[in-house]
Amino acid sequence: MRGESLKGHLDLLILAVLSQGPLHGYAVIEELRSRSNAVFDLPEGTVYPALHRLEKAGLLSSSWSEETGRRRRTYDLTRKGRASLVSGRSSWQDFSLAVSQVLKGASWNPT
Amino acid sequence: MEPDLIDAYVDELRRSLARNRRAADVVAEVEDHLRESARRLSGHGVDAVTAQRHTIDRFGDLRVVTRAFATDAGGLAMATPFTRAAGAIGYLAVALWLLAAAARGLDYFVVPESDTRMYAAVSVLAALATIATAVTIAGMLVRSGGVRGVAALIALAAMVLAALMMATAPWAWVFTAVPLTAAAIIAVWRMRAVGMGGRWADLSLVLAWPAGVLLTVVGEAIRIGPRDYYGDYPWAFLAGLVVALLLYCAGLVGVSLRLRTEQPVGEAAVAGSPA
Repeated sequence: MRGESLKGHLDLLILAVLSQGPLHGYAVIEELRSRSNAVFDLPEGTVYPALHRLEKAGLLSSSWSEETGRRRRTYDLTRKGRASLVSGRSSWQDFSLAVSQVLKGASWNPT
Repeated sequence: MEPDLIDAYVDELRRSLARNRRAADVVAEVEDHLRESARRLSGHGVDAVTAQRHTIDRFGDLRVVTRAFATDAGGLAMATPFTRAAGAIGYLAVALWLLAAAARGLDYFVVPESDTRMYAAVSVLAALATIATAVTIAGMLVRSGGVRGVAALIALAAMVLAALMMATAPWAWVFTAVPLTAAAIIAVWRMRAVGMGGRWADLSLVLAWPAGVLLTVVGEAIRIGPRDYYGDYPWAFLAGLVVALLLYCAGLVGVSLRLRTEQPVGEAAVAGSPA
C-alpha cells in the first residue's frame, strides 16, 4: 500500500501494535507488516517520527537499554494511549462498516 | 574491504539533523534499526553488502526520512473535537461567503445610491466569512500536526490580515486574495503531507482567488461591460469574484467534509477509558 494512503491512519495502527506489549521500533514495523500480510509496506524510516509524535503527545512512553553494544529504544502504550486506541478502534469500525455497506450497494441503517 | 553502507547512511543522517536537538537519540535509534535488520537478513544467508543495501532501501530515501524527522516538531496528526468543529464551521464559512457576495451584488448593482448600511453589511459579512474560514484553516493545521511551527503561524497570520482587510475594504478583494491564497497553500500542503489531501477540493481552495483575480484583470483589459465612475469595469470584478467564491466555497466544502467525517481521538475518550 502506498505510504500516502496509510499515513493518515498510521498513528492508530502503531497504538494497536503496541497494545500487545512493549516493542522497539524495528519490531513495531515488523508487526505492522506481518499483521497486514505485507500490505502495509511503507518506508520504514517514516514510522519513527510517528512514534516520536505519539510519545510527545503522551500516548506512548519509551525507555533506552543496551543491546549487543548498541542503544535500543523500546516503546510502550500509556494509559492515555490505550484509551485513544479504544476510541480510535471504535471510530474506525463504524467508518469501515459504513464504507463496506456503501460499496456493497446495500442500504445502510445506522440503528 | 567492503564499504559499510549503514555507516555512510547514518553519518549522512547525522549531518542532515545537525540542527535537531534530538539528533543523537534519532541517529542511535536509526542505527539500531538498520543493524538489526541487516543482521536478520544475513541470518537468512544474504551476503553482508546485499543485506545492508536491502535494509537501507527498505528504510527509505534519506531525504524523505530526514524531512520526516525534521517536520515532526508539531503535535499529533489526528482528528480531534476541534478538527470536527472546524469542519462544521467550514460550512458556516461557505454560507457567509455567499451572503457577503449577495450583499455586495445588491450594494453595487441594485441599491441606486451609495448606502453606508449596505456597505457595512458587506464588510461585516466578509470579515465573518474570513474568520470562519480561518477556523477551518486552523482545523486543517491541527489535523496535520498542530499549529506550532513557522508555516502554520504564517497561515494563521495571513488569515488575520485577510479578515482585517475584508472588514475595512471588502471592495479590495483582489488584494485580500494574496493572504487568503497563502493560507490555503500552507494548509493544503500540510494536509497532503499526512495523507489527508483531496485532489479537487485542494485545487479549488488554492486556485480560487488567483483564478478570480486573473479573470478580473482579463475582464478589465478587454473592457467587459460599461465603465463606472472610478474608471473600472464592474462586470469584470463581478465575474472574477463569482468564480473565486464558487471555487473557494467548493474547496471549503471538500475540506469540511474531510474534517467532519473523522471521529476525534482525544481527551474525551481518555476520560471515559478503562484503566
